[in-house]
Amino acid sequence: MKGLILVGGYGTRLRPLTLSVPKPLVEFGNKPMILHQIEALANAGCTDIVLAVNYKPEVMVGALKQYESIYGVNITFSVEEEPLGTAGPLKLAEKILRKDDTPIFVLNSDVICEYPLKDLLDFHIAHKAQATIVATKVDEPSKYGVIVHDRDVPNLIERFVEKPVEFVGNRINAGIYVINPSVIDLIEMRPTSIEHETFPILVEKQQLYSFDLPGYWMDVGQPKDFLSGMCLYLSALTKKGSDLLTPTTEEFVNGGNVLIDPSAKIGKGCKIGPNVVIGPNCIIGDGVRIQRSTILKNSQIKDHAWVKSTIVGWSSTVGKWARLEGVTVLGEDVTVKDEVYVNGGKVLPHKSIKDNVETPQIIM
Amino acid sequence: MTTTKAIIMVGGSSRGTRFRPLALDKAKIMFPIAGKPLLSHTVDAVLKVESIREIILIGFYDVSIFSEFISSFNARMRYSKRNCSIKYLKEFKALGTAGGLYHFREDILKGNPESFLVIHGDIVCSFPLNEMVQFYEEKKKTHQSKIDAILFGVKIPDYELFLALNGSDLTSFGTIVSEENGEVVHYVEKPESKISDVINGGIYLFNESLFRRLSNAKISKITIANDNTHFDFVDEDIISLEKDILHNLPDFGNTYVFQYRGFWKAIKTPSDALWANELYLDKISQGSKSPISPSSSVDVTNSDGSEPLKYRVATMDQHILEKPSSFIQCPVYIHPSATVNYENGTRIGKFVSIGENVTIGAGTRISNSIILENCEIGSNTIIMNSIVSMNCKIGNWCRVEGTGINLISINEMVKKNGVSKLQKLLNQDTFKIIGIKDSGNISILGSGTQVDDDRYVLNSFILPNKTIKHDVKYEIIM
Repeated sequence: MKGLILVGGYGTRLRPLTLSVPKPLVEFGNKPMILHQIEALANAGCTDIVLAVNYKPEVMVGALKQYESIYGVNITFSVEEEPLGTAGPLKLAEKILRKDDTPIFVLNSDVICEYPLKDLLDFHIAHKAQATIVATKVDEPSKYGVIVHDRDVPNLIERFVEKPVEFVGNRINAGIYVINPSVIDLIEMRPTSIEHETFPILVEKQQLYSFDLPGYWMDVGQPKDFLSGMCLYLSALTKKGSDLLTPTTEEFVNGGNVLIDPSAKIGKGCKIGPNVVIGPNCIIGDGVRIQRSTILKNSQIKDHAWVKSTIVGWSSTVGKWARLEGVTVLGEDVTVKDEVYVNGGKVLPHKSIKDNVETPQIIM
Repeated sequence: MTTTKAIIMVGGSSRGTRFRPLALDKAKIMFPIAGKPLLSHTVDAVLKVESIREIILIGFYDVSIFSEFISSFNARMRYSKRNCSIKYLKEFKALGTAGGLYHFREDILKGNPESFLVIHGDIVCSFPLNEMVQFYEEKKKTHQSKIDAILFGVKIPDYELFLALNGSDLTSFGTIVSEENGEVVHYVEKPESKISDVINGGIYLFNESLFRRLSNAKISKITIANDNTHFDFVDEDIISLEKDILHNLPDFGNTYVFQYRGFWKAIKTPSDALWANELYLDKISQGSKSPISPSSSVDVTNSDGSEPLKYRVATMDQHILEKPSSFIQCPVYIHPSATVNYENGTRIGKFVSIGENVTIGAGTRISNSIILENCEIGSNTIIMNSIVSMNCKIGNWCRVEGTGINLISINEMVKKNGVSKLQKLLNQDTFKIIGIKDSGNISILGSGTQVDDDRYVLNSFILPNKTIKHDVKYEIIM
């Protein structure tokens, strides 16, 4: 089994975090984002994983090397000279992906879900078609490409409707596929889209099915959705009864869904949660209140600070009695001085914030 | 000395609407600043003038406002053997800045005071009244003729800054032009252009000649009021000290200006009260550093033969401020009955006054604020540049904030960037500096306000007895 992860470019939507660290290495739930996918692929029996990238940061190569032995996989970087869209990378990595006849998983790197890849594979094999798309149900299908099924054959895709004005269904393409190697024959070596060019051919041939994704799904490519996705991810861990979570019997845990690295220190009289992730070596002072936030590793939240809907970047410091909220994102090594209020500030790395930021803005 | 009376013009509740929403809870004149009512600061300053034997409060508040104040004043006088009485004379309606003086002329002139002080109750300054009285005596001696009045002139050190800070309010000040020897040659109320950098500080020293002028003013008022050809309605009861008396003084009498260069502020709005809190706390803390209280009070003690220490402590009603520590940034006044939990890094100061029976939770931060009696404040909460009226309940992890900056930082800013930057800031609606505009620069919680856990109140006024369940920013909550 093989898997391709569409990583793409610089992850500008997740700035200021991605100014310091390539997007796949930004920790989501205390684990680099890409590791969620690598782990899922390895668990589904993949031995070869291709990362389709527009650029190849050395830091990423080094960081991912260690996981090859941990998960028993080969990780290859397929670097595009020019962005090849969502289908082109499959052609580019053809050599690895076609080395045997087993199906290929294709994942978009921004997506966070429970990755039921084994079930997906079983479904795919059972339906004997060339490709299967994972579908997720959304509240507002009008913003997406909606899947319309055949009236007679269950799960067979009849057509896609891009941003429908009328309700035709609420299942959308979740950005996760399993394809047979032969699908690569349909792709030309140029920038091309799997959704708009390859799938319509398969629909025509009645060779494309959809698999309903159980559980949550979220594109976490930007800060607002990163936090929403974090809530979904933590809720799922709670549902599973995961022992990664900090037990709610801890005095400082409020409302559950709290994931704290064992190396982090928590002060007296804190109230943390719901929906909080605290990374390794973080120091949380006394009387700190945190809700709906991710604190990345080596950061310090000083006494009596109040943090909500915020991503605190690596090695940052939040001062005493400071208050952060409104999807504030602190880049790496940012200092928020004592007693300062920041609402929706996107703060670039190595800045020091001395005055209140009352309205959402970028702090250069 | 011959100055035996002081008249304090205390105003009334139908005026002072600019002091809302705090005026809904307490009369402005009785509002606690640096641990005691605004009026007490003035009265205690008056008591430092040894010759004063009577203080008369004139205003149109209900009598009950002052009953407790007057009885505790009398008790203090008995205890300290200081010979000074106090009474409140209520105007039958608002009579203007001088109408009350005219109406109660017999009370004022009883006992034939050679001269008397008139002080506006909303003035905050260091009250160098002894120096002012001495100045009067000296002028009397050198002048060899009758002095009609001494005006308390506040010299504005940086007129540009003053202009910027007070904006449209500037025209509500009277300005004084004087000769080198202090003789007033010109007085203009509410000038539109810069005439002088000495403004009327709202403190005067008059003698009986004032009443001749008040009578003349009254007669001309009646004449105008009864003149059918006169277009405007004129209320003959109302006499303005500034317009009807001071304006004409230089032409008819010998008027001198006593120049003062210290801090000075007229309390009009709640932001002014916060500013006054800062000034008075600063003044008290500086005063407490010197081992002996101002010389005049010591002199009196000695001549009276009473116990010096007892006299000083009792009549000055000096509050004892908190000592500096890891959790107190001086100057801070905390009423002895208040309970502060100093665990978990609680920090209070600078410029904080905390009233009776207030409780403050662990890990809470309070700076530049006034907290009135019976408030309950939770843990890990921060309150800055705000006034919290009595009986409020603030939860845990709340933030009650005003953007206001203190005088020192304003001065630093001006020194660094000049006045132009300050003016630019003032022109922005959302950025309002403490004590300059009527609202938005501080937060005020009216009495009985309840703030739920985690809530944020920024630059907002909350009228009494509201519960805050959502964050409030730049709002007035009715």
